[in-house]
Amino acid sequence: MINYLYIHIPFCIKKCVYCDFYSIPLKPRIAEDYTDALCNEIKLRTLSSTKWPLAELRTVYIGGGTPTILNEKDISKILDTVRNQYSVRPEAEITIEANPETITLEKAEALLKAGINRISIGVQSFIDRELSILGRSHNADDAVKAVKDTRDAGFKNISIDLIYGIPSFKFQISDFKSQIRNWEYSLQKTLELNPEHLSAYELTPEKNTPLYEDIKSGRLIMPDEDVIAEMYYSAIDTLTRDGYNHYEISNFAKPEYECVHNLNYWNRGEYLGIGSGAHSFFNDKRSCNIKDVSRYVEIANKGEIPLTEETGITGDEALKETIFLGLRKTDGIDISMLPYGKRPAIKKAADELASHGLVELDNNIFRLTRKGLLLSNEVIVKVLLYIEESRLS
Amino acid sequence: MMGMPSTKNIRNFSIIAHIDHGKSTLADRLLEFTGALSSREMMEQVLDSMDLERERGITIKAHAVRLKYSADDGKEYTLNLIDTPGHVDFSYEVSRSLASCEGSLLVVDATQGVEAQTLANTYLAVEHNHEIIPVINKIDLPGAEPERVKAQIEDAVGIDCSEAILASAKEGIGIKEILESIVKKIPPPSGEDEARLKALIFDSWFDNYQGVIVLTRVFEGTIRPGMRIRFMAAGKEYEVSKVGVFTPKMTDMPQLSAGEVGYIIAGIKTVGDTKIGDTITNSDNPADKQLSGYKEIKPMVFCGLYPVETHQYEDLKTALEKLRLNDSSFSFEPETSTALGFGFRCGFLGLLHMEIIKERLEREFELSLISTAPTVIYRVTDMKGNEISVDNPSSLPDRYLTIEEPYVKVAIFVPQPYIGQILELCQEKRGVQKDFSYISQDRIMVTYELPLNEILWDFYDRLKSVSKGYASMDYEFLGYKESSLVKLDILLNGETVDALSLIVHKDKAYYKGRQIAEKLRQVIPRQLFEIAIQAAIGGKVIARESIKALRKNVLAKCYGGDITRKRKLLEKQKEGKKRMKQIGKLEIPQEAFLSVLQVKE
Repeated sequence: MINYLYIHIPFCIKKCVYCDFYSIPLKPRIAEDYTDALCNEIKLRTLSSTKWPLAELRTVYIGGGTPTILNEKDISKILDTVRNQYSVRPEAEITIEANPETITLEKAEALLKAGINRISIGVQSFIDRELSILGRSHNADDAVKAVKDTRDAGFKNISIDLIYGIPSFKFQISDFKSQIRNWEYSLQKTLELNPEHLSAYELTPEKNTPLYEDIKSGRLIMPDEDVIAEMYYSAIDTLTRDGYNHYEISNFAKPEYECVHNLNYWNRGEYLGIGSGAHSFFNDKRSCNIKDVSRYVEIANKGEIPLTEETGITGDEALKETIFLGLRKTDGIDISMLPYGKRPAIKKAADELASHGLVELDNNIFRLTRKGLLLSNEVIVKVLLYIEESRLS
Repeated sequence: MMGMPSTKNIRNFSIIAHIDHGKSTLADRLLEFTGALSSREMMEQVLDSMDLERERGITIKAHAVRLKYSADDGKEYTLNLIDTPGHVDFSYEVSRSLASCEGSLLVVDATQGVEAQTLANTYLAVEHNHEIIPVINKIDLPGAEPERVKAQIEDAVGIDCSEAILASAKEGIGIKEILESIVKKIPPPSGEDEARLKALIFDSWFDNYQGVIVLTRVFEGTIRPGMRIRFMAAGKEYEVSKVGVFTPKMTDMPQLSAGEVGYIIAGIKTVGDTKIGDTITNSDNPADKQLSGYKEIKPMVFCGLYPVETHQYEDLKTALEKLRLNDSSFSFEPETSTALGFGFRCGFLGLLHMEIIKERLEREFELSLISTAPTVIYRVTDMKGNEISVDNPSSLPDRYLTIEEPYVKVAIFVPQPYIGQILELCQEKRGVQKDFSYISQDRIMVTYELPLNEILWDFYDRLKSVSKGYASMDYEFLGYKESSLVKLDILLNGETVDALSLIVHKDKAYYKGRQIAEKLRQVIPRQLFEIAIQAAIGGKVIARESIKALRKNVLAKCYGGDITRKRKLLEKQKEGKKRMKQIGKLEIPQEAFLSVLQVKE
């Protein structure tokens, strides 16, 4: 049974220079058509013939893109359809992602009224120069105001996204210390707003983005690897000192405010994704909807589920997922829950990695250390290699 | 069915040309014109049948094709075209091919002019008393300067070009003139059918169905199926099962007589028995002595080949054995490296030969290999006065009396504007100038004596780059000379990595050590701990670098929409790790073992 629902809104006012996700600019007519198509898909998925058994929903997550680009009416319509078609638990976590420029007091009130109880705001930085390098359309003051408006509107669960490791123009490059100080400033400003939840992401220059090209051409200079590492540890120290739990590689929450929806991904739980390009995981299969918005709308309105591909994940593939997703959580994974025959290989890998101080294996709980968090790929790859080797021998 | 030609209607010839000057296209046209193959039947460039040869535009193996030509004099002639390898690594094979004919077409690109290698091969042909027919090819191209090229050939080679044929193999221009000229100018072979058999092996290869196929030129006597033959140098005897010619289809014949060129099949299992240049004779009525010019060819360049994954050792061995069936000029012996484990020390005729073998191992046998830097054979006199051969730098003793290294004579052709850089390059490579002459107004030929070791590194690439691709070179082996050489060791975290050791000239050791350490710092990825790189001579550290420990390798986010993508990314990292060579705790990428070669001086 599926208890987790994701709804994708692929629209943005403008694309950020680091973003390699699919998104398109919003035109009024498209928003309406898309909303209708979403509602159609929601209904289609509940038809018994399509075999997507949705139980009482624990979470609904509206992500993007920039979902708050939609008007209140469309958002209400989507959530009303969800509630009409599926049962939603009264205490369900219902999240929407937002950008500061799309939030006003009135908008925030309307979102609450539509049934949303958690908002994740893409602040990214409290330094205007960094925001402009990232190609964001808001400034630091807009961000502060947006967070305050959501608070004033009555949101009791606010999450703030931050980005660290932001490059500088080559003629503005500053020394390591001030780079770290800038990051700590953004952290401090975030704490002043007292969010319940916080994500701190290292900037990853993805291929085919303007950011990537600028770095390649030398127009922008990335901070030194060691500086980025310092920034990460500084976030962990500052935030945990302030009462936040560091519960996933990039996520922090006040007690009881961990994101239920995202934890399900890392626990390799099943979920249903609605909307163009949305992914689902159910019955050992990962599937993906059509990405192109107009194609998506067309198919959904024809009364077909707009799936493009479906891949079965079983055996070692499934185990690998469990490991690489589970290790993202600071609680780690309980290897006594893994297939018996695979445990020796994992233990062997753990022993070797422990000798480098990257992991701990204690009472069957396999978790990354503080050092290991930043080197998690090394850990995962090593475990994958040991699993493969055990299969060969 | 072809009749038995009378000797006076036979012409045996080869084509001498620089890479890309149009040899293969010309050969195709000759086949087409004489009706050996219709153009439709003919795959592009029939003579270059190996993929690798085609890709590189180089003919590696010689082949021989028999053509029928009705000349203007009303007679029918048998023309044997003997194709020759076009690279200096194979110059001995070229010389044996040339020894099998009476004449050559000297093909020169009308837009390019004479190149070093053309000249070297033409000299070889002259040594074999060839009648040489100059052909100026590609005259249809806009930049063609046939008169200038003719003058150049006259100056550089000393051949009369007044009757040079202007041709375009691509456009089919001049083909008939070439054929007429072959008939008129190249003398027919001499030799008695009834004499004792003497036939020269100029090529051989292994065929899965028929065993070794030997290409031969019969000088005296007749060879036919059922005859017991002896390979005089190899001392092996076999019974001939088939003889025949390539038309270019394999066509059996009742016999091959004096003056003829064709193949022999005799149930031979290994090309090791059919040495190029060896003489075939009749076991029952043997010739009293061999044809002249036979040389035992020895590998000049050596490197270690190791499987990346140790379990592929047996596969590598099998692959080497298979390749060796077809190519007796490369050698291999098992060796053990403390760093790389079990592998083979392999010997090659030259660098191209080495690259071809390596590529075939990786491509045809799907092996993932690590090769150590190529080296030459050093002659070392140890402390007891015994002479030893060192083909692996790590086996150079710590103390010895003398060390000698092989020298080559290198001829370089270069347009005048680049001569300065070429002289500098030769100087830097410890060259000694032996000759400097203008071969035409703006082209110079310089001759240097250089240590072979120095041209193994980046010599050819640098020659090409400093001359914008215009310089060409050729080299021949001179002999051994004593040198001041030292062993340079590379240590990673305090351990000598034997596979990275090399022998260098004393004056260059310090600089080279620094450069290699620097290069290794760039190619070895950061790992979980700091890595110290040291270069040392005789235990004394002369350069050091360090690679800081890896601090971060992490995926910033992973949510429902990108689990598959992130998993693939991690799988890719994993595959990358698998391609690394594990040395102790270190993971070393394959390119590190060649980084010693990429050092700029």
